Amino acid sequence: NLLSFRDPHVMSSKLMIEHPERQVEEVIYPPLDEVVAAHLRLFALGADQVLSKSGKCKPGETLEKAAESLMSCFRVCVADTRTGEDVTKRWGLLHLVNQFLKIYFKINKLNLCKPMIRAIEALPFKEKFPLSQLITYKYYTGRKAMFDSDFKSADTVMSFAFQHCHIRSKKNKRRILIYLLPVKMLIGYLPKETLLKKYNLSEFTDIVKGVKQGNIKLLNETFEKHEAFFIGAGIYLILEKLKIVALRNLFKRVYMIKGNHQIDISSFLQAMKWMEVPDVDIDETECIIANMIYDGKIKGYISHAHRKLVVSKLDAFPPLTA
Amino acid sequence: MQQNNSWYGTPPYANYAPYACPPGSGYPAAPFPPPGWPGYGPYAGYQFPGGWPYGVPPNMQGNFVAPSDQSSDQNKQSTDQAPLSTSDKKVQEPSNTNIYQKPPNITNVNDNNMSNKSDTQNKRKKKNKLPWENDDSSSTNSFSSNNDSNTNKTLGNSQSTSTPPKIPKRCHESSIMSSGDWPESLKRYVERCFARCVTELDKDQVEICLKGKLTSAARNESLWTKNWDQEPLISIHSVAVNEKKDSMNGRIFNSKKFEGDPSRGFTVIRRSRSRSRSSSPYSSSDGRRRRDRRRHSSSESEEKLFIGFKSRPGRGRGGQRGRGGKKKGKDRGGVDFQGAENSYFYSKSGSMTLDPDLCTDERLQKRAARFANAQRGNRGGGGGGGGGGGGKANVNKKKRNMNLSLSINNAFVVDGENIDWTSIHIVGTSTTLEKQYLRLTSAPEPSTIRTLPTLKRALNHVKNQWKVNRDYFYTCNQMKSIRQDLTVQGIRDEFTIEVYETHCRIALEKGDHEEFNQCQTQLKELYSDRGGANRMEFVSYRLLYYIFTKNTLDITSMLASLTAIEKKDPCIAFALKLRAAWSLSNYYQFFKLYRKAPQMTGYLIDWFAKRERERAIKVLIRSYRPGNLSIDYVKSTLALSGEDWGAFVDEYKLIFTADNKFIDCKKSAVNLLA
Repeated sequence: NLLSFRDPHVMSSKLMIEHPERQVEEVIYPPLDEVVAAHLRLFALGADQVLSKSGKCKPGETLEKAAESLMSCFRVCVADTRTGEDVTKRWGLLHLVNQFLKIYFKINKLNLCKPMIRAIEALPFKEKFPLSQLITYKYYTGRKAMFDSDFKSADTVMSFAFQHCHIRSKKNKRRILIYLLPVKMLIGYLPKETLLKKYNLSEFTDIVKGVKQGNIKLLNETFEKHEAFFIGAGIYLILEKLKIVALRNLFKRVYMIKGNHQIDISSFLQAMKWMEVPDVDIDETECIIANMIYDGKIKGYISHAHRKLVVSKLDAFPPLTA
Repeated sequence: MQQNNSWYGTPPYANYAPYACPPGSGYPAAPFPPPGWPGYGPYAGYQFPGGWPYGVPPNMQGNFVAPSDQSSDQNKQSTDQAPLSTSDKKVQEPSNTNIYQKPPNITNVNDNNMSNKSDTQNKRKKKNKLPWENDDSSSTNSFSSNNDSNTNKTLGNSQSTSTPPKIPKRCHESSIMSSGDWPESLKRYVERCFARCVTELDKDQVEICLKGKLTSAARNESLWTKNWDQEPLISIHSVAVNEKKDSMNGRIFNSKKFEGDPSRGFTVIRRSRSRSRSSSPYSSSDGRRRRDRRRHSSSESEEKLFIGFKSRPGRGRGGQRGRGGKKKGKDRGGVDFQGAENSYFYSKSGSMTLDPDLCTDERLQKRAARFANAQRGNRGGGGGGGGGGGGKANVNKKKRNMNLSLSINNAFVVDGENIDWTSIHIVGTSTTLEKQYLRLTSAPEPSTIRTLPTLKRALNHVKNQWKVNRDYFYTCNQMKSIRQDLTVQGIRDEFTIEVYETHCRIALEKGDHEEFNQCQTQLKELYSDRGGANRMEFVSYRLLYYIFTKNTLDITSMLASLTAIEKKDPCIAFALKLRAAWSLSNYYQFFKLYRKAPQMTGYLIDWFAKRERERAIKVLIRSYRPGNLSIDYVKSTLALSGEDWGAFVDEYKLIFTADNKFIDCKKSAVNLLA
């Protein structure tokens, strides 16, 4: 939705001045602040799209400029440390930070998010912000944590966002879910089919199935099929890690089939070959199993000389969620 | 309430004060005149120049005049509340005593000085009317004024015959004295102050400072006694700080420092102007109108007062072209830049009055460069290197400064003074083969820059030297100077690509990550501009570099941007496989691929092979624990040659079995997995 140039919020004389930050100081209280900021961002977004389509400027430039403009407001709010908690301007911070996060995610400059996040984390009343802002904030910090491969915190944060997101905002819930699902699956929780259906996330159905069964073949195929979707959402690399989970499940099946706590590596190799994993040999299988042992997914050891995996009699394949 | 032709009605922020004193101006940061702003004295009823855009805040209504931008008088007075002065024709004593006498002859209240910027006062003063008279259709705040009546009022009109303006209810305050109560010397002083102004910002600033000065003078009773002729002029920030490294950009709303660049100020003006052009005369934004009015007034005012925008040739309407747009003429300095794009602000034909010391070539170049810089935004800057020409955000600027201080310059931005070389193209004349690299701090002499053929020879020479001597420092130095010569001359063609590729390769061989990163970011830009034969190869290097830096974000974006054709390229395909192996910690595949690394990828993988080996050996020791691992197996798995093996063993303190053929996993684990 593009804002016209003539829209009062844009053409407002307030925005004409060179020093909006001073205005913020005296005039714009946090609610108004938000409106201005949001409009600015949306406007910049729209302008960006238009401009980049016409090739006039590089995509993301107007967004960067918008970020800069917002930055002055941000500074004013952050600097307001002396006032009491009920009147401080820092209440406007979270909204501004959310705008920044949105911009930076769009232009792919996540490293710029750090100071923002730090500012918010330093607030003593950071849990008291309005829920909508909190959810947005957690959504983006969750995504950032995923990129930093910090899955534990990503899980907590995203789960919070998902649970507290209003039941009616389906679109938002879906967006949260897109990121929550891979994280949860890596930790070992698989979603129910009903959940996927409810939020129209059919791309994940096959993934869930593949992981559950240990069906690497299906997994690879799904990755290829929906590659664009996953890469677009930025979760492709994380989903790749699900291959290990799938392999673990596969090997667990082999173990159960064999029924013995000493298993030839060649059996595993056989299983992988059935799954049409390209170019795999016994050494590689050993390597994969060795990694699983190291990560705690298998309890046991490999005997290289005998080419056997010896597993613990009690709990060979401990549950992932442990 | 106002004669506000605003098409959208009352502006939402109408009730608030517009501005505070500029920081550092030494004046109190009052957003509007201090309470009790003179109800007496020569300043009583002083009109805030430029109008009082948002009207008088309710709590201040008792104290001062609602701005009238056009009327000649100083306050519109409605018949109601006028605590201070209820009066009539006489400039007189308000309730607080007016300690100043009405100066002898103030017949011609002709102050074109006090606010050149605001035709408010100009017109008011010109009209010889007394403060409270509602002079014409002006309104009391800038919202309400309409441009039409503006145009009608020119300075020099003595009496206007327009009808009294409607007074917005909020703004009806009395002013006591007309500005005619000022001594002549003061008027001249004010005139001089404004004459130095360059931008809107300056005008605002000067107004505020003047207000403060005059108030204090009034309070001290020195208004008439002070020697205004000798009074030091108010410093103009734009003139004083145009040197500052400030990110140039043309955004209206953005200004990090109060002291704006003149360029930025102009930008603001220009944009608003062009917009006002396109909109109806009864423009909505008060800001626009305000500027319009000023323009009109200034154009009619005495020329020397304020370098009116109109008076500058070539500026004209549609000023969007300004700021970095097509520029004509040469820089005022003597440097002859062929094809230089110089801002015409600094052209000889401009009538900008700058302090002489600010007109040095260097400074002008810098300004010109900044304009160009701003215009191009980030063009020409290094991307991932974190600094590029044309800093936009402070973040960028900081990064750029940091980068510069860290290592060699990003080729397009030079040290400290942030000269943007994309805008300056010198043609070199030197033919010396070798040249030391020196960071440039100012425009170089053409005689020190090598010509293109020379550079080609130089490159070959350097390559040979590298093969023979392997003196990295020397080679790097030479390469940088070649790059610099290319940049300064604005050459970005296949040869430039070749230069960067060569430098990349040398850095790879040597293991210099930073240099490699710099070059490859430049290469990325060059490739996107021009394409290149070795593009695929360097894409794969880039991917491997991301693996090295564990930059999952960029890996994702890279994966997203790779086309099917690119994925088939052997180098890129190799890099992708390696990435997959790395991501799943599949050390077996990893080292298997490593042994067959194509082209120069091996060098890159060297950089992170060590950390992968470390993890791998840990896994091995842990997973094979009760038993022993054959040395050969480990060696081959981890692609360790004989000589490296020794070092490897020492590093991880691997313990062998008695016959030295096997690694004792249990014992080694103690050290390794502790």
